[in-house]
Amino acid sequence: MSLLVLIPLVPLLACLLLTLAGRRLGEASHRVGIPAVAIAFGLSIMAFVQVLSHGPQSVDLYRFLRVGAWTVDFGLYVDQVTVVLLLLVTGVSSIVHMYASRYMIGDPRYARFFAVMALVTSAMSMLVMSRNLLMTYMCWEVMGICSYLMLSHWAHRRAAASAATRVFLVTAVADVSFGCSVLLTFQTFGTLDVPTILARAGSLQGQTINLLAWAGFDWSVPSLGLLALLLFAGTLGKSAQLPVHVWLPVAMEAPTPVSAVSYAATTVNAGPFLLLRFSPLLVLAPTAMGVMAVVGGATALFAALVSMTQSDIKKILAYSTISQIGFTIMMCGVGAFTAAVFHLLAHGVLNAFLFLSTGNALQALKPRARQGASAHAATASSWASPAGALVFACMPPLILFSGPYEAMWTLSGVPAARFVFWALALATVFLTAVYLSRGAASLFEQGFALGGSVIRPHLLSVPHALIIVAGALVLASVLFEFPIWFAQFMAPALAHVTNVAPDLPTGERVPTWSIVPWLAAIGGWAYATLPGRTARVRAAQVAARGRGFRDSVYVAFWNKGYFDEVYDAYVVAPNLRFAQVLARRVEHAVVDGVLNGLVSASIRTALWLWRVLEGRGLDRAVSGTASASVVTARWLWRVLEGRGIQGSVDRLSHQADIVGRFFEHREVHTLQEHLLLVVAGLAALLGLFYLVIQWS
Amino acid sequence: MTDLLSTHLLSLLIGVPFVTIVALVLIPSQDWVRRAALVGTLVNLGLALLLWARFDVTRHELQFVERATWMPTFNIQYAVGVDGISVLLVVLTALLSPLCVLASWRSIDTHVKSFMCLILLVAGAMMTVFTALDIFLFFMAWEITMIPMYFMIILWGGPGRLAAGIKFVLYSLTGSLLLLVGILGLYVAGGRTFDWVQLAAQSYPLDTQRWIFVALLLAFAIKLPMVPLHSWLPDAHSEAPTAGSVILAGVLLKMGGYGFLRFGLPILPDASAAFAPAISWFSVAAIVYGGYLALAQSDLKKLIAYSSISHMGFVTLGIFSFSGQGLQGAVLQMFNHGITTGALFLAVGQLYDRTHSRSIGDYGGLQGPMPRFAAFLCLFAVASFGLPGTSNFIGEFLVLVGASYQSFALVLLAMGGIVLAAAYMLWMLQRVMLGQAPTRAISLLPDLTLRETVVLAPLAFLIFGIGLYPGPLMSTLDGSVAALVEEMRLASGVRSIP
Repeated sequence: MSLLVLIPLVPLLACLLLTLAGRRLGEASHRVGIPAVAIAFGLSIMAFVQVLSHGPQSVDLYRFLRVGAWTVDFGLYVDQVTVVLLLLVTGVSSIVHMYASRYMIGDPRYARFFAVMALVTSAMSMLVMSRNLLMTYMCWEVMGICSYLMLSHWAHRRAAASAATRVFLVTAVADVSFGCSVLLTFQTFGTLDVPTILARAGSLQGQTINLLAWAGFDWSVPSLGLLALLLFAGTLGKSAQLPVHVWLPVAMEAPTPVSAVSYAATTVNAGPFLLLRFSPLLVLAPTAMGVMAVVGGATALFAALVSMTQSDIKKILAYSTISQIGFTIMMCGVGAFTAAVFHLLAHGVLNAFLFLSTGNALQALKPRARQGASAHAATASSWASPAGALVFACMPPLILFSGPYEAMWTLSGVPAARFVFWALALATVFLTAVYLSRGAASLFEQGFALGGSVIRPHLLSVPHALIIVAGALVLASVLFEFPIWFAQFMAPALAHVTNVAPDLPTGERVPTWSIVPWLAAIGGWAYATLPGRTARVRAAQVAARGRGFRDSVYVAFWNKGYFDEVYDAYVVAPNLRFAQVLARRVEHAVVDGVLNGLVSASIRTALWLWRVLEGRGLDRAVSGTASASVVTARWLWRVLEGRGIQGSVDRLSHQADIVGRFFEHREVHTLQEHLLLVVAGLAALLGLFYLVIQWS
Repeated sequence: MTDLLSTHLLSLLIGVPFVTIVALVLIPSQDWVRRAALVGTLVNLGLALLLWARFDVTRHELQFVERATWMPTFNIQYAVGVDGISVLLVVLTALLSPLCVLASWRSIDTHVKSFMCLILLVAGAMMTVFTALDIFLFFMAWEITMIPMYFMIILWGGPGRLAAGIKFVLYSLTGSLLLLVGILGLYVAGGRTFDWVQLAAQSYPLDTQRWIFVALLLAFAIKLPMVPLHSWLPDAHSEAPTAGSVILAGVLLKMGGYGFLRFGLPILPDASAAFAPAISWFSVAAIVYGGYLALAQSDLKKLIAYSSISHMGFVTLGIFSFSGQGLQGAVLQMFNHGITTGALFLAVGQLYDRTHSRSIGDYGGLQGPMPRFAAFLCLFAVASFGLPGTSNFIGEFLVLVGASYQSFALVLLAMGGIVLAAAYMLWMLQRVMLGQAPTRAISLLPDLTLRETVVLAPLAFLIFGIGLYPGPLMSTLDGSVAALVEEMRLASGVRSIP
């Protein structure tokens, strides 16, 4: 066993401890959570160094399933993709843990919060480290239930309660596809061991699978293509892509630190991670790659447009996350895997920062917090965090398309497609710059409107401009050198699209094109600072003006494309109605109806028999027997009146008496009928038995 | 003593409940009746664990076999023995019966002695069912299980108990009748013997197999239950007292699946193969149908009952895939369903003891006043829809692997059933656990007592234990399942399975 096992294990143990002893620990719970996650972070750094010096590491854990010769073995596989994600997950998680130890103070479910946070960290690090596809799937679902637990943190709020259910179910529907891909992988490769699958993928090109065999038709598709598509469809849910992105904005009901961990560092990154992990398999399926690029690009643009129209900062951040993950997936689709990893990391860190500073600002704006700690509120909300938010809000578009970074793009070699995706990417960058600047600005305005001791913001004020320019320059200069090293480090773990010549950036590319995205970002930023263009003002204008084409488009995006409404009306409601109809029409009317018909028919027969046989004679015989046995019993009693057995007999008769009185107590007739029924049934069975024996 | 334990372990397992019944009759005090019943069931659990520990997983044949002549006229024996499948079901029965006793500790306060006797009677009969090697003995025990259940329902049940009891008995008697016909058919066809070993060793003409199989199929399908023969179950489960529901859902339903594994596949392999496609589609129909009906329920116990129908669909789906994964998955699903559904019924029973209401609409926001209960119920609910990491996932996954050899359409529908399961369970949790309490009384409910926690904690532990490390269960099953797979591979009409 290697120390790597401890990375998921330590947070898991912390979760266990917090669950069992949470009530006793109370407000001291963070003393368990923070060290555990910090240890995991330290071990992740160690893992990074190990991979850097010795290459990928593999650890066997235990045999999970065994049926005859068929086995599923659990193990860890730590390669370059894994370590950078581990650093991101445990790093962001440790920072958020520290942040939350202050943020969540006073919460009645403090211990539960840290328990779930530790579980998320553990599950996500296990997911990125897992060597077996089934293990990946298990961690994947565990993270789903973690989201559920996080969202039900403030369970007394109705919105949070329904959000919890909704979020889990939306992702569960998408995960069906992942489940199918696990089964199909097993059938195609005979194993679920990831390195083996990736090694064998090349040899399976040309193999097909008949999808309609069960119906007797022939519809053969390449099995690798199907597998890649299923896998991609499985990642749609967790990474909130069209058309199952609806859960992520709803998930903003969770406490803000949760959003920072789940929607920056963990849950949403699981999807792109899976695509990166299976990149050698994906590049063998061009159709799936095309679908990925289109879906990712469409999501990026759509979510960016929706973001433009929102005025709630957390909603803006939610759609921004969707948009950026869409961007990452588009990069995977066009074969720019290295760029995708880089974007994933950059976006993870920046997004976490945005969520946390938003949390700070919102907390400071709450009247309660201001009364209690006005000094803290003033520093938190005055300029540090919103200004930081602003700077970093402008940063992603700036770094995303800086020259060498762009060199990591290796578009899959179709010139026309290349330009389409370029255009998509540029549009997204422009919009990102717009809505993030606005979102940050709206924080200032709110603070100002509430009359807090905040500084009136000027987006073009000298300090901000300085910070932005300086930061951009420093980052860009680092980025010119850093990406080459980064790409070389990542290269062994990722697939290469071989028909494009330069696999690795050389640093010699002419940065003509790289100016365009810079311009787009700066343009977006400038556009955002135009007066009277905030989302709220625009919404008011549209409401006042009425219904032109542009207005109805705006309203459509403002309503988030009506996805929630369509799902409610065409998926949720019909299923519930179908269930009701089944219960009433089929279960009650048909299944029970047949039985009731049979029963009433036999009762009618029995009544008829009763009338025919005119029970008197039988009745008399029965009561005669009964009185005879009572007489016999009395005689026996007198005869047997020996002292010795008196005691036990007394006890027995006492019991019998109780039973008798009890039966007398109950509805006499019904009970007797029931008894008769049982006895008659048994008698019939025995009779039948003897008949058949005789007959045979 | 050690000698007795090694040679007559199964007879002891069967005997202990009956001996305890006799002891209970002689004890006058109610408190001591409860304690004695608990001790009796715990002793049985110890014996069952001992059986499991001594069971040799490397050997494929029947173990701990005991034989004695019983009715020589008809060649009927008292013959018992176990393979891996029976061992697990015996352990499950022994595990749930002390929990049933504990669950009825305070909630049953009238005629405690009779109630405890009924629990022990059904436990003893179940032990016999799962170990019997003589099919007449099997049939007798099968019949005996019905009687205590019937009385539990009609005497201690809820408001609709009489109708539910009648329905249960009518269905059960019909099933028994068909089972008897099937068994007598085997007796005649197999040369006048009730001995399972001899019956399984022979081969029968396909036509005979078909007729006998139809009779057995209907009998087992009623017990399991398979759609559309399921309508006794929701009523019986919801009207029975807590212990009754736990026994019904936990072990009684498994007799159906066990019947298929013990009599369907090994004795009638060709007929099983012939009927397999139809049964697979019926199973998937049960998974989806049960899921939809559970979604429509507003009664907690009925919801769990319909979820049982859905879960038992996985059992038949796995069994009739005839693959190693499917068969192991089916048995694991039976075991895990016993644990999770038993746990759900126990938890709901604890709620019922407090409020005497089973209606979902009467609850809300329970996580506030009852955090410990909420944690348990949440765990059992997510385990019930097969969240990975909990026990049910293992069974369902293996069944799906098995079914994927047959057709992906089956797998897709079954997965739809799992999503439905997640939907009804989480919706139930949302309405019961989350949100705000509808009345002040609900917001003041006391949390679980120590006794109630003790009832639920071992089940919670097992759910995680099996979910993360199913190795011991699987190695117990491996040999017996491999033998079954081999048998089915030889049978005509089954394509080769890897």
